[in-house]
Amino acid sequence: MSSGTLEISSYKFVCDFVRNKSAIELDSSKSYLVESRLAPVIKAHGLQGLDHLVEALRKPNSQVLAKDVVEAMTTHETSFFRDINPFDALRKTILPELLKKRQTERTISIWSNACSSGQEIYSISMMLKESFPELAPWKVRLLATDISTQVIKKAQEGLFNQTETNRGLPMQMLIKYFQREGLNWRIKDDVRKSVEFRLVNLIEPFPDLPKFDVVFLRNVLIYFSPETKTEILVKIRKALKPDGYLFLGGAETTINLNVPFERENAGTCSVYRPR
Amino acid sequence: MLNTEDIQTISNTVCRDMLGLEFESGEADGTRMLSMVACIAISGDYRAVVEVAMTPKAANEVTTAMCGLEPGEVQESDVADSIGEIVNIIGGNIKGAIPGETKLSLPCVSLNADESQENSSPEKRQVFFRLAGEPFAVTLIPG
Amino acid sequence: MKILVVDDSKAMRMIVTRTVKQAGFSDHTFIEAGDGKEALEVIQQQTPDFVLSDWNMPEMKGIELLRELRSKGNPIKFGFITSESSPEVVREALDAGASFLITKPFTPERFRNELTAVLA
Repeated sequence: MSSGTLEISSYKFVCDFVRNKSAIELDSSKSYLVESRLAPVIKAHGLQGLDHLVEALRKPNSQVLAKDVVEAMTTHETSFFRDINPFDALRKTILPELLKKRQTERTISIWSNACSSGQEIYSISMMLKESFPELAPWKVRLLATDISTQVIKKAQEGLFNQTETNRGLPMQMLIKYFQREGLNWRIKDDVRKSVEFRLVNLIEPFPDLPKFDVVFLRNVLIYFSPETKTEILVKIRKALKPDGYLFLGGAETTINLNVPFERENAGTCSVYRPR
Repeated sequence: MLNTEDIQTISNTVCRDMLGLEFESGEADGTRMLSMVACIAISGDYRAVVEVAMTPKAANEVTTAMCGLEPGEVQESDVADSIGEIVNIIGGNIKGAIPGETKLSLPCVSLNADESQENSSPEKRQVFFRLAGEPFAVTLIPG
Repeated sequence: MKILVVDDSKAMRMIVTRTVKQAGFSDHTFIEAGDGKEALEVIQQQTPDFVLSDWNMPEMKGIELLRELRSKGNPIKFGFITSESSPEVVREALDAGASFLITKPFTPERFRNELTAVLA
């Protein structure tokens, strides 16, 4: 890998871009890190180097590239039980409430959007097994979707390396729900098979889905314009049950968007309810 | 058991996640003395010695990253401590990837090692890296 | 809140303290001990609220420290930081009364999740 070849203006563009999308500051002394992390993204998108990447990022409809860039630069942000608060809210308030409300139909459905390698939905699945054994006879539907076939494939395999399992996953869950495969850990079949994975592009019409009790749409809207954000949220509203719950990323809100949601406090984080 | 690629993966993970430093692949460089050495023993169902060896400059790099020090503030005891901890973490991760009951020793460190006593076991697994341009080797010696 | 970091490596004590601070716990007080024996003294004299301890140390290992504390009836909250992640180690630690284990190499996120749950 060559070093010191990074164009200063392109480097600055990437830093600003990542800060805007993720609120993460890149250390300006680590340009070699930026270069080495972006190299696979540049290659995967068939681009000719950083300047070319910056040019592609400036174009409209570059969400997939934008997502890959931000993810490459903020890899530590993808983790099991990422930002623990929504999971705590789910466990402590929302699920106990739903368990009461859904006594008759005995079904619960949760949807994880832009699921990436599946950490979010697998975290939910493990939490259900761990804290709600009474759900065993219920019909529990866990759906995870992403825009990329490749990502879905990786998520379905449920194989995680040491770095990934070290992030956010309590050891007692690691040894209970995973088995070692060489240096990696594979999620056990009962968790893996509890999840359905599908390809969904948020900016296209959604496939026909039954309505959900809980939707996770975290750190996805940041990649879209206000108009597209609104469109997506309106579609999500339709995919939710009227008394359902929507989680956005910790730094995301519906402020300044004309959408049919109302913010509520759920423990230490916010949850959005259909209006 | 573990191949060189596994050793490479473990070493890379430790360095990146713990120190925020990026390892580049390197190759054996006979002209440079890797005089800073730390090793740790795995015993039990599987027996091996794990060793990290590097130049003083690479050791300095590890130490500043680990202790959050400025380059001028580094003392010898900090270097010994830091490279000992690196071999401890790499050794622990190797131990974890090996089936069976094993134990990890405490690390031992030499800041003035003589490479002429190099082990030539045929089962030796050795990986070379460059850390900030400086040579750095991780070796697993079973037996 | 006073957090005791126990590790025979000074470098490790520094990196643990730094990572815990990065995880959002920077306004707590951090105190240190170099092994289990020293930790026992420090716990008696300075009564920390939480112990973060290395596993493998000379002069009383982390697990011996935890067992010693529990045998004396001290219920102080206790988390391990280890470079080993075998199921045996995890079970031993949890059976002895540890709240969690964090494996090295670790990230601030990991500390954030575990400490938030324990300190809540």
